[in-house]
Amino acid sequence: MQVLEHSGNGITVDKGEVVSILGAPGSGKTRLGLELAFLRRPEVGLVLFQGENPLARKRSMQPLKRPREVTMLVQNAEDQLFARTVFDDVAFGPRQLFLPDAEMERRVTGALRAVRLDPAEVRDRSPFALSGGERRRVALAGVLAMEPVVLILDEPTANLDPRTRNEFSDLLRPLRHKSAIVWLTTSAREASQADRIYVLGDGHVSEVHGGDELLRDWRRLIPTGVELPAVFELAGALERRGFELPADVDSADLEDGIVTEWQRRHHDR
Amino acid sequence: MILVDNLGYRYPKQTELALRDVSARVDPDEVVGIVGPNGSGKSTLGRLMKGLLWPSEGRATVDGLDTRTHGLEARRLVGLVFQNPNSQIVNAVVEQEVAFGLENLGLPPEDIRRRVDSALNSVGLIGRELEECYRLSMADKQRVALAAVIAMEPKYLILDEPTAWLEPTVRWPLLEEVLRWRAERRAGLVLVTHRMDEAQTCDRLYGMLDGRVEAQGTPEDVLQDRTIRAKLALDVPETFELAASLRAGGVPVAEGTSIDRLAERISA
Repeated sequence: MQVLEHSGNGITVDKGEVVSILGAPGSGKTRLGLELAFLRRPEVGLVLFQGENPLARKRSMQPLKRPREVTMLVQNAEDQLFARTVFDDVAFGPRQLFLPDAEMERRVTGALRAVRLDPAEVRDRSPFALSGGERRRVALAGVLAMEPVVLILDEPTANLDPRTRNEFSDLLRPLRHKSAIVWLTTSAREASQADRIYVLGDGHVSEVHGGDELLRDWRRLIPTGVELPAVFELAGALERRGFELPADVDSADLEDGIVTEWQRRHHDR
Repeated sequence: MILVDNLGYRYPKQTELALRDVSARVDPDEVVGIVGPNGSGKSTLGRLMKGLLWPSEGRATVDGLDTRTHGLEARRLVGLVFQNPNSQIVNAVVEQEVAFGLENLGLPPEDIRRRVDSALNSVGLIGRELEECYRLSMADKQRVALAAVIAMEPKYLILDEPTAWLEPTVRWPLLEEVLRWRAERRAGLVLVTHRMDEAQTCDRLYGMLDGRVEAQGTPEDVLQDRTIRAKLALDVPETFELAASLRAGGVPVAEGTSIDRLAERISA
């Protein structure tokens, strides 16, 4: 079932699926994310949530309401933590829903567990006393506590060191059954983990079904300026120098192709 | 030459030394890397070389000028760019920021104009003089911070993890601009970094661990040893593993070179 649709560029998100939007820095990912989260008016077309445009439901004298079922983890979200304790920070969103105390407790502890923080240990600590990776997890818990139908993540692993980055990616895997995830990223490797991928390049959006297909078609990704695994970058550089490499292969076969081509050239001499 | 000799440094109100027995030198016209894990004393050493901190033990000199007794003269010879440009930029407009230090030197306006233009040209920001600093991308902010420092025409430039806040795709273009500027000016460059690929572009490396110099020498000498690499907690780029894997397949490529160098070597 389709939960989110952007008619301006044909982006759709189904219930419970992981969609990534892949684009180079400056390609407009964040703008698109804000539009999908109803935090910004789309430049082209309409954004529909469960088939309706929530921004069109405005009656006279009533403020516009964006759907609370769509939440967004902005870039470097840990910069926006503000409460005195981790519990209060995570509870800030759900408090706006006027939930009973028991439900509030359940949501906050559940969200903290989902990001692999021990609620008993961290709930009364200041978010500012945590490490950078932990703070980002608290920020993620804050949006998870809203129990969103669609969760939009804007470069959730940016500025984390490699180990913390992998931990964060692992964290997101079990979430997909609860919410649909829209993952904005500059890395083709990260994007390839999604069910479907939209590639931003040259101002338009194209859709790719699955990570294997995305990487097999790496030649198309080079001009978009996204971050590619090293072997594809090397293959691109070699082709510009006149190497003939196999088409439509995965990274291991591509590496073999490079070795074979080098051997062939070396043998000819 | 920047020379630190048996240097020790203790931060105020601390009992432990942050740096112990550190001896190092930076010649004009060379690129020196300082590598090591978080908290190993890399940034502290950079600040002592610039004369922002005074040694608790030993001496730091720039071209023979002691940073303690001739601080002003010594500091004028050395430029320092911090990790986070947001903590360095104080002006609203790009050209104001770059002119700030020069105005404080009391230079004639035409000299300031010439130096600002030349600095902005070196970092690829020419034509963007009147943009507002706070609207710039992180990479462009770092370019402004860099231009402000190189407009002072320092003889030595210290960069403290200049690319830590930047995305991989903009990291190398920025570094290449710095390296080009350095080569033209024949300036001495100190690059504080935890990235292996950046360390490899240096002429010499100092590997710091717990406030001491754990290893020193050419990048080949220092980085070849796996255990030292692990101790210094270097961020090993993917190209490194790719090169190793290609070598295992019989292609004679050097360890851990950049994609372009790999491609050059393979297609040669």
